[in-house]
Amino acid sequence: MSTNNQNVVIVGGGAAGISAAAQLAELGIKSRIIDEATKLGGVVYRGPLRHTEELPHLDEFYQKSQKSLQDKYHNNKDKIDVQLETSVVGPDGTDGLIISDQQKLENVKYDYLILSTGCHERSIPFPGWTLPGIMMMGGVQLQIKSGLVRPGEKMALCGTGPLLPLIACQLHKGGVEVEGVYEASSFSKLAKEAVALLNKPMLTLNGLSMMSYLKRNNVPFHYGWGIVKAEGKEAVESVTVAPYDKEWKADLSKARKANVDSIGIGYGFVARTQITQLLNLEHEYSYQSSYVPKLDEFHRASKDNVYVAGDTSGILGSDGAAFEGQIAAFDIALRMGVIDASTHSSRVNKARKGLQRVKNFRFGFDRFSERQLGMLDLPDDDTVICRCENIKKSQIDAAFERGVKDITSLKMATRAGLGDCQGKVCSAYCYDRFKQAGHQEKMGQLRARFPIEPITFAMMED
Amino acid sequence: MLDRKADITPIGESQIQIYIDDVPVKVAEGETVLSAMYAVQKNKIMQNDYKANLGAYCGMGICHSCLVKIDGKYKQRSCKTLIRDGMRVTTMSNRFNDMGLSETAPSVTSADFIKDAAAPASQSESEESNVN
Repeated sequence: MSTNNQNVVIVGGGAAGISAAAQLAELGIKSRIIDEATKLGGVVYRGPLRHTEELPHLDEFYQKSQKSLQDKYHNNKDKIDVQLETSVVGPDGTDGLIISDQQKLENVKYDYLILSTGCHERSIPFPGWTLPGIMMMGGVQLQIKSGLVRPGEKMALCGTGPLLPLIACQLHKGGVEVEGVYEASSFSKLAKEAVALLNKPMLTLNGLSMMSYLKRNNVPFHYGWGIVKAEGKEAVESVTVAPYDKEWKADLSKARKANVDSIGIGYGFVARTQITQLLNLEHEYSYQSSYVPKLDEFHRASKDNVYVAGDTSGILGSDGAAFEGQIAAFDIALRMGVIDASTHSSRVNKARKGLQRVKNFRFGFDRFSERQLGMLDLPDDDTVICRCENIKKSQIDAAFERGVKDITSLKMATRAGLGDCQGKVCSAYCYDRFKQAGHQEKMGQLRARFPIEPITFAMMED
Repeated sequence: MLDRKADITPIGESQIQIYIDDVPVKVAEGETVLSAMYAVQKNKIMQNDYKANLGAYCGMGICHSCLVKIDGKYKQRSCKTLIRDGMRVTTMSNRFNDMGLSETAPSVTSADFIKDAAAPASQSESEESNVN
């Protein structure tokens, strides 16, 4: 096995990043993973952050998958250098990154870079959505899986897709009273995808067993229902839900209100592309994932030595991310001369076959869960759209009326997207508004700004 | 001492504690400040620069809606910060509001003169300027 003195840097130690590093290690190639969290695994497989004797709320299937990903790292850790609690704040010249551990900045040079920064959730504004107690599903999951605490005692879950029943079960087993689960799409739409779901029979069975768990425990699951509004003085006290039509427009005449102290919201995900943007990679619009970097068939981006794998390149979930990480790893190994072209093509093809099975399954759910723009009617004039800068829907409307057709002009006209989160929260709504108004071609991408993670002035002095 | 009422599994014998708004809370090594706040059922976490009350929203470092003051330092993301023994966490704190700046801060946007200006900064990024 050859050892190399070329630097392979991987940003993000989730399913894609660990799989890439483990694959490289098996081929004798060292790499360095940079991750902002205190443990590897990504949001999905980070595992408990504190000591616990048991995990009564997490099923065996999940615990096995988590262990197998962690094992991939442990079995190869002599060839994987891991730097935790470290964030990339921006690029450094060509082939370099500036990273921060909250104390100091450091420069990192790379010969090959794999970006596997994952995704974050798509925000859906509705009246009351900024009240304390309303949390997106990924955050809810992190609290129950990694924090081992209940983020509320009585909760409603509104969203779409396979995460809904999964989180409902985990919350229920964790002692939360689940008031109801509201899936925006109709059951008949799901039934149409039966063939696609059979691509992953185990996952489908697992889903069915979750549905039956909810039924046995009297947790109501409503297809074709969704969020209307949340109310409360200082925090959430009630949720209002209503039937959704095909366009996900709420039928307010049938709206129903329930008392809850928290609401989980999950209407999809957005690729996390702040680093790919600052590296000036080419991007393209994706209705499902927001903007994603343009990649070739080996997951190479528009810069020759930069690869993008996992949800950053389009939302596929952790199973798909693992295959994508492997494909990037094989390609780097070929270019380093560690494997020959025929090994490369046979190994890549094998990974692609696995990836295709994931896609066949996943695309069934994606068609079922495809977001409909009827939800854009939910916010009223006073609903805040940009939480950081307190920009209301009426201000966004006014900018549209004045003829704003792109997101940079919208930012200048209203300050939406100028706050601490750099528009990661409000941009999803704004893109959908532009799409609805027919400006998809012109709207452009809300630019990430250096530093993409906050740093102190003191850190810049050295 | 605030009771930990929302733990899914017990934290066991813990010798360390933090202070949330000056009240001690038993905590376990490895947990985040946000989880410690949820454990004592505190979900009203911050005030933004416009005095809106916010709670943790994304829970993973994206949304900046769970900012607290930690040991005198403002704007720390509670979801990304691990507890340390003796740490002092202040919720609902905001430097602008604490200094009384919010009332006086002007809120000027280019919307105020957008009718005359042709959105100068957007030209560098997109060939076509789309503000009419």
